[in-house]
This record gives sequence, structure tokens and C-alpha cells, in this order.
Amino acid sequence: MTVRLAVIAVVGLAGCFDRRPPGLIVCHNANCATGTNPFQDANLASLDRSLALQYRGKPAADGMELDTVWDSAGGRCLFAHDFEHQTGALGSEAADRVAAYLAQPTDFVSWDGSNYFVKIELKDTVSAAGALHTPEELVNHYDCVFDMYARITAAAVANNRDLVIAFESTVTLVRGLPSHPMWPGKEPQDGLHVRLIANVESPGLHPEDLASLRGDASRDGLDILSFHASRIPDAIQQAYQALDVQVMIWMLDSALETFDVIQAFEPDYVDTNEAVLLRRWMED
Amino acid sequence: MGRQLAAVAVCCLLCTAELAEAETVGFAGANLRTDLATHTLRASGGVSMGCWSAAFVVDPYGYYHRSQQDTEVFVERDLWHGGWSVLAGWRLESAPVLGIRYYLEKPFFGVSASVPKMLFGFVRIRFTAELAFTLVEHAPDLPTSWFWQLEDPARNAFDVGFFARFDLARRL
Repeated sequence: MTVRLAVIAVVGLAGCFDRRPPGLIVCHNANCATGTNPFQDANLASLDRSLALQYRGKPAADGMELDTVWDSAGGRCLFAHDFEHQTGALGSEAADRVAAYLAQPTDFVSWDGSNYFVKIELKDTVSAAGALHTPEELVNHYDCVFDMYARITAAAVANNRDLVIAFESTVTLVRGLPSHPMWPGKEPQDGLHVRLIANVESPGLHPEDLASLRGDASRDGLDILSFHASRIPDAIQQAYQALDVQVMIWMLDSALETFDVIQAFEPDYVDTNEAVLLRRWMED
Repeated sequence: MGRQLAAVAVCCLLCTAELAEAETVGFAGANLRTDLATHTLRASGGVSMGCWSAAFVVDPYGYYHRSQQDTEVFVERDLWHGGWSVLAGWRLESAPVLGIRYYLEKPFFGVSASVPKMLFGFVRIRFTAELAFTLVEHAPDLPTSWFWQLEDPARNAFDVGFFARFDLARRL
């Protein structure tokens, strides 16, 4: 009897410490169907595969990351993670694919149903050599991501999707978005939410960001901080956890440390190349 | 259980008895760990006398890169020479958060195992398991969080870690 009670207690305790946090799964670099492969990041074929990814008859992911770079030489807004692997696809083409996905006649566009998350990332370099935006190029890049925003939100609104669109870049670039004439505000209408993300290591954060990071959507500050799952020392993550801010953890290959960080810090979003693996881990 | 406690007590007494004739040794070296509780490599130094030692650990990488910085002091007591010991200390962590430095105060406790002294005691290697406890997190312009204010403190206020120390020691 004592042994049985002990076994029950151990199993119960293991259950307590093996909690799987219910964060939203986002397709990292629009490439979450076949695992980490930088050569397949941010191209239309990977995006299509990722949008079609299913687990137990439902979409495996809850959202999609669309990377954009402003191509200074070509004067184009590319759907690409970097210049080395760019395919010539445009940001508007990627946005149209997501819009078409949201317009499908289905109740499930994400694991949870009719809600969806899109992260549009603005890379801060405009050439393979690493040049940064000129003021004019930055305006053009902003125009591009707001055009992508318009294409995706039109489909979401027309099909009654609850949509969160988040823009991510360096703190400096993200802070410029609310000054753009097309900035819609954080809550432009029912079912449509706009958020700002920056990497936790990007310079320019300040204590006044805490209110928006805690969910005050009436302010134009940052809303979500992104971390690499196993590159940031614990104290930084613990500090943000204590401050109760919204966190996105991004990762490359899954490892025990990745799952440990997800369990320890319970991020609101997990940006992964392995959506099915994460979904299975969260659900099983 | 009582017998085990008595054995530990006897070891400590024997160790204390040696203190009167104990030599004083200074040591300095590296503190290495594989988890993300601190940076992988930090520098440490200290003094031991008999079965007691006191050490400090600094974080040159963290200071230089202005990232997370972990500075700590701890005292350690051998339960018997060349074997197991217990330690207790205090870690002050400073992390760059929202453009300022956020401080985490972490008392910690641990158990160490020594490998046999090498090169006539000139090289000392110890492996330690620690339990660190986040007592409070604070900064001038941000809210203070005591451990009971953390979400699920039983889970989030405690960290288990492992580190190794490689020291060069010299009689003072």
C-alpha cells in the first residue's frame, strides 16, 4: 500500500513538473514542415508546405512568419530571410498566399480554430554586403509591409478570422512603424490586432515599454519580446518572466534544452521549424 | 538516519579538530558550467583553512560584454579531507532588461566532490551540484518581485545547476 501511494505521488509530481505550456506555435521563416534547413527558409514552396501542414486532421501551427528584405539594388521588397538564399519572390506574393489560406472554406486555419497569427519581419540590411536602410529605403520597406498587412487583413476580415499581425525588427525600425501614414493602431477593429515585436538583445528598449509589453494595447510601444531558446542566459529570461511580459521564443533544431526553456518560461509564442514535433509534444 | 547524521557530525568534528594545525591555502582558477544559469566560464579565487574555505567568483565575460553578470561569494566546509563538502553562498545576478540593469539576488546551497589532488596539491578540481533560490528581483525603475510574487514560485524560484572548479592552489 505504501509503495503504491509512493508511486502515485511520484507520478503526480512528475505530472506537475512535466507541464506542457499552451503557447501558440508559429512557423519559423515560413519553413516548419520539414525541419530546420536555412536553404529552404522564406520561399514560396516552403510557405505552401507549411500552410498545408496538418496534425491529427487540423493545422499543426497557429501562425506564420513572413520575412522581408528590402533589396536596395533591385528596388524590390523580397520575401526572403537573407540575400544569399533569396528566390526573387516578393513580399506581396507571400502575403497573397496567406490571404488565400485564410479565405479557405474551413473552420480551422490554426490548431485552435479560426484565429491566426502572422509575424511580418523586416530585416535591417538592404544588400548582401550588410548595408543598412537609407531613409527613403526604410519608407519603401514600411510601405511594403503595410501592403502585406492590407492583403492579409482584407482576407481575414472577409472570412471572419480573428487575426493578430505582428511586425518584428530591431527596436529602432519597429518604433518607426507607428509614425507611418498606414499605421492602423493596435486594435483597428474587432477581431484584428496589431502588435510590435523586437528581439530582447536589440538595443533601444527602455522601462517605459513595460506597460505595452504587459498587454496595454492603448500604447504604441513594443508588445512582445523574442528570445532565442538556448542562447540567452537564464537571468535575462527570469527577469522578463518576473515582469510578466509577453514572450516569443524562437528556435532552430529542437533539443532537450529547447523543451526545458519552453517549460520553464512558458512563452506566449514558440517560433519553430518543427511545428509537428512541437504540437505532438504539447498535446501528447 | 540518526546514525548517518552522527557520522556526518563526527566527520565535521574531526575536521574541526584539524583546524588548529591546518595550513592556509590560497587558490584561483576557473568556474565552468554547461547550463545557462551563468556564463560558461567565470574566474574564481579564495582561501581555505583546514576544512573551511571561502571563495568568490567573478564574471569577466559578462562585465566585458555588458550582458548577464554573475558575481558570487560562498563558504565551503569539507566533511572530510579530499572528499565531499557542502557549501552555501550568495549570487548577485545583473541582467540587461529594458535598457537598464535588473538585479536578481540568489542564495544557493550545494554539495561538492573533489577529485584527488594532483601535482602535489597544486591543482584542485571539484564538481558541485547546487540549488539556487531566487529571493528577489529588483531595479530602480522596474517593479520589485519577491519570490512569493512569482507565478508558481515552487517551480520558478528554484534552479538546479552543476559546475566544475579548476583551481591552482598554493600554501600561504
